[in-house]
Amino acid sequence: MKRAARLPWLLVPLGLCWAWLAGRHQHDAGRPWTFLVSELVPGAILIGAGLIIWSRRPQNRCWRLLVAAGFAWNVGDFEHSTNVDVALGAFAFGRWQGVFLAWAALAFPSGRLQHRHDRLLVVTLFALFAARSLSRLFLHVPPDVAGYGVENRFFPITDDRWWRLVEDAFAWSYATTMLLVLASVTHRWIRSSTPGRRMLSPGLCAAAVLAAAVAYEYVIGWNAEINAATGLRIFYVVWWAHAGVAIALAWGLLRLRRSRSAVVDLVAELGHDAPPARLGDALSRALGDASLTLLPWSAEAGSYVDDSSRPVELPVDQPNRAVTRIERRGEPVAALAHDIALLEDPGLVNAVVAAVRLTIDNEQLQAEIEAQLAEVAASRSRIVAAGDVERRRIERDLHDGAQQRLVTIALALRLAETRLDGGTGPHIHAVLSQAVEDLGEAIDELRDLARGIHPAILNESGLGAALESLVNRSPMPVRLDVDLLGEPPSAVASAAYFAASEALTNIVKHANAHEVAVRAVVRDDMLRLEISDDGRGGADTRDGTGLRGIADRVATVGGTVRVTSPAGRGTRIEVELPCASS
Amino acid sequence: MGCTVLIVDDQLEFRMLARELLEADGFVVVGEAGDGHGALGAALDLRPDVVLLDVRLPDGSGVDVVRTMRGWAAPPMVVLTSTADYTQAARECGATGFISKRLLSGPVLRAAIETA
Repeated sequence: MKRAARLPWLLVPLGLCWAWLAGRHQHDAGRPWTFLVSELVPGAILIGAGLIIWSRRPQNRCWRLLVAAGFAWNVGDFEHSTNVDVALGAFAFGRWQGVFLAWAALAFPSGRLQHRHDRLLVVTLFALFAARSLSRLFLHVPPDVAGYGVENRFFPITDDRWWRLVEDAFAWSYATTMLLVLASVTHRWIRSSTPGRRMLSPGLCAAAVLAAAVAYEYVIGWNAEINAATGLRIFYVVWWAHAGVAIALAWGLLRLRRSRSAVVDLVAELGHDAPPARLGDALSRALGDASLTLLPWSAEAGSYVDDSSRPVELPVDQPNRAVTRIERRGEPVAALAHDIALLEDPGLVNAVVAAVRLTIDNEQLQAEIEAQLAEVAASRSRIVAAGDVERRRIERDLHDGAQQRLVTIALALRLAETRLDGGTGPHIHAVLSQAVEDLGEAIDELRDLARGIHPAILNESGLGAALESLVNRSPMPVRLDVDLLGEPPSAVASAAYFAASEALTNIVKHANAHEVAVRAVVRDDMLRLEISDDGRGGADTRDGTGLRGIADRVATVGGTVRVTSPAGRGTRIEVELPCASS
Repeated sequence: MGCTVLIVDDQLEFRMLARELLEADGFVVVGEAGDGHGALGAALDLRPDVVLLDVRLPDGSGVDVVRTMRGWAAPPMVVLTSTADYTQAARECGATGFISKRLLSGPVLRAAIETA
């Protein structure tokens, strides 16, 4: 928190000093401490409520009005001071708290006066209190004549008619203005819908209590015969009323803050899985506005769209309805059609806008990430497929080119050998035989190389034959069980063959197994390949490239690999590859 | 007259050498074909005693050609392979036998026919 933002806390010691000073003056005038404390409490509650609002919602202006009301309340406590000048000043300028409280009730909950007639009412109240202050300064008669107040130092007159006239006019005008304040707030409350009324209710309560207290104090109490019992009753009514006003306003504002928190909590709860329709419903419930509609912006349609992605026009010119457009960097994101009462609390609207923007941003980011992941997966599949095609071409070239030429040369040498006449020495026969034998080995090596690049039998005879060939070439006995019900797609068959080949290679190299089994079954459009052995186990997909290579290759066709390899209890590799039955 | 043979392979040079090798051992090569389609036609026209064909042909698998000819009560068919991958498939399709290409000779072919 910045230093300037902490300054309001200085009001705490200032208020205490102010209260102590007021109490000190009252005590010097002979008032008992219990009475003093009771009289000081409303001011303390007003200041305290203002500071609580400031601490929770520093942007809201209502806290200043409550603090001002609290200090204004305590100004009146100095009117019993033994210092004549202080007492006159307090008598003239004290008890202005009604102006600030009425202002707060009219401006609730935003702290800003929204309507011209409300501003007029506040100006009227200031004018009334100013007129009364001037009257008390210059027209007031000494207390021995009026029976109330302090000595008039400026015009020591004895005729109290003008002063009485001003005081009576003030009382009636003040009470009437307060009733108008109540009427204004009530009118706003009546015109609002359910959520708006809920929001404005604390302000309405405050205005009602304030108007009743003012009417009671200035009309009924003022015209009643003032005695000790009546004075005390008026005092307590006003005391409770002002405390009630402060508490109602503070509670109302803090409740709004809870609404904002509820919005934030709601978004956190919805998380990333919040389609606009669900978010709109959740916001509607959280804000108690059944009419709230969230309309996301569709860049494709170039307009706002409804739940069914149909373009819609934003509602305009409707009483009690408002549209809040949500944008990011000038680009539309969504629009909220809602009860106009939400605008009474700009902070709540900001929270909702932020929540919607955040949620839709998250959704768009998630969609982009998913699209990118899908593109990466597709790209990986294309790369693998292109690699397969290339390997197949190389294998074919090896078979049709180098391998065939070597075979042909071998045959040619053998033909030459058969045609050597009897005069040729046995040495030549031996050389030719060795050449044929070496060629045979070269052909075998080339064949193995070609098969390693791509097993031609996989394309020509299918996965079953390829697995059988693979098992037959294994240096250890392997039990094979194949039930494919047709040939899976080429990419799936390649992945399955690669997985089986890699797994068998691993078993031969590392497992020290005695029994090995390969099982390939197609059920429910899923090729399930299982390679198991009774070897030493302990295989880890994080070690080496064999198992990881299987997982990578299988993933290119959307498959999964599960490896179970407890130490000393063999290894089981289960591969699942989605495939359409053919 | 010796045993008549039809040689089916897409490599002209191989066919020529195979012809010389077999004829040196008393076989009579009555025809050659470069692909499966030609093999079927030649087999029908020439009626050889034995068909010697590569397992991999430009227009398909030699195994498929064998499977097709089986329906005609065709002569013995011996499949030439360059790898053991196809031996099981060759057996299952009804071929009389299979020979590694590089080991082809008259005696080997005769043995393959006789052991069937």
